[in-house]
Amino acid sequence: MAGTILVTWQTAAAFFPSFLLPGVAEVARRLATVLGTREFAEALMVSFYRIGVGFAVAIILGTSLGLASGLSNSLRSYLRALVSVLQSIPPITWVPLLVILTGFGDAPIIIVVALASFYPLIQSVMSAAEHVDALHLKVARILGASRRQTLRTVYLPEVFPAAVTGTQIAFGNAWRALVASEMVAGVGVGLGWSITFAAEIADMAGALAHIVVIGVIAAIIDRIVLEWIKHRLLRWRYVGND
Amino acid sequence: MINSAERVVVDALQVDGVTKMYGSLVVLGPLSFRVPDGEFVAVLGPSGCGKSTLLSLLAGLSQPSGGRLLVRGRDADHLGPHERTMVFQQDGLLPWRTVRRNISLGLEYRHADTDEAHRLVREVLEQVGLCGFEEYYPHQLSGGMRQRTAIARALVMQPAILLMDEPYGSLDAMTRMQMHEELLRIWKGSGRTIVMVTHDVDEALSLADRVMVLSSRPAHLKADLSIAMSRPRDRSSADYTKTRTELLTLLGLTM
Repeated sequence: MAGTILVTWQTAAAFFPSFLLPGVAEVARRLATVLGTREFAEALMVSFYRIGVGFAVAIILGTSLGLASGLSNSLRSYLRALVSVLQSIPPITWVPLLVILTGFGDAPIIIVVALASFYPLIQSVMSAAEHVDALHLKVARILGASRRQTLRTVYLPEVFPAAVTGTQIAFGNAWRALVASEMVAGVGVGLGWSITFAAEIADMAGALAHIVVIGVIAAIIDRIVLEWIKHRLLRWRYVGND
Repeated sequence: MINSAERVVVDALQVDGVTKMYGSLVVLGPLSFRVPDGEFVAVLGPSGCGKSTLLSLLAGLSQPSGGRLLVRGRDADHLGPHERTMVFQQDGLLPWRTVRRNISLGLEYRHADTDEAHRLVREVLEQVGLCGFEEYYPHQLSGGMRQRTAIARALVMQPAILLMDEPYGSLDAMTRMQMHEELLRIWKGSGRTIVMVTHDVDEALSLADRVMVLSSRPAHLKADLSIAMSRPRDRSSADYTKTRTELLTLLGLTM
């Protein structure tokens, strides 16, 4: 996969002068210097902070509202309608409005990240809560479970895999929304901003180096960190399937 | 002072003119019968006749539309799992819990103390022959072992009444006969009342003290037979074949 991208890139670079489209080797060299700078470390920290807060808010809201919708049919149809309308609006379109409301800074970006990751998350949790096994609910009832105990021992674990998968999908959305909004929200630091800045001073190698960083970080978090968490949290699914 | 001889005998189940309707459709009754303490009753009937509806009424999972239903002399819907619990046709095990934690589910709900829970789980594990499988997950078990776990999960509550809704319906014939033996061994001398819904005449005849035959919808009591044969029952005996034919005729299954 990574090979395809590199070959295509290098081939395309042969047709352009290097100040327009630098080749793989040049960008790699630039990457090596960029990674060591204080600016880069700062951009990374700030971006992680923004996505961390936005994503956490989305997880908490998405999971709890999704779960609650499993217990109440009216809440579910209300949320379904609301989400399907709001979801059709690209989260980034809220940026100008949010900037006016909250001023330049982290807030518009965090809100956009939260919105972008909230939709897929609440949708997975909602449909999982809707399809909780009726027999499991009967079993809990016949064994004397209270409403709270049923929520804890049946609903939560049953919805859990969907919430984890939803989180993984939501992370992709959150990451894209983060970079995009950092490019347009008028902030002065962050991974997205670094690309805009490099492009403004016609530093193509710098812009490409940051694009590579953005792709690689997302891949590491998605394929390694989230995948690992998923296996740990859903351990029972992977036990003894031989 | 009341001594034991004078104590009023309360039936395990008392069903008086119970009916169940879904909208204007009568699916059951009116139905009346009693089940004394400690009896093993099998309920036979054509499929879709409302056998399972009857069981879910007895379990308190749904309310009768009319009539009165008493479990051990009390209203059916306010009773805990210590009075009666139920085993379903599908095991309904929670796939994310091990055998041990599936069995202890009801004890957890009751906030049973850890030592007691441990002892009770140990006991039923031995009864159903699942020792050594405590830490297995349901997907690692055979159908028979899953259903044993489900039965253990019910037994651990030490219910006075055990309701069973075609518990062996999805098992192969060999496993089923083995499970019958086990169930009889567990039941014998326990003083427990068992009501088992089944569509298998041989299952009813090898297990029960008494067989109730329901009509097709709306379910009425078509016959109520006491089975006096001693256990284990010889399927080739004249008594057995005679009763078997009688039951098949009642179900309309002979020509």
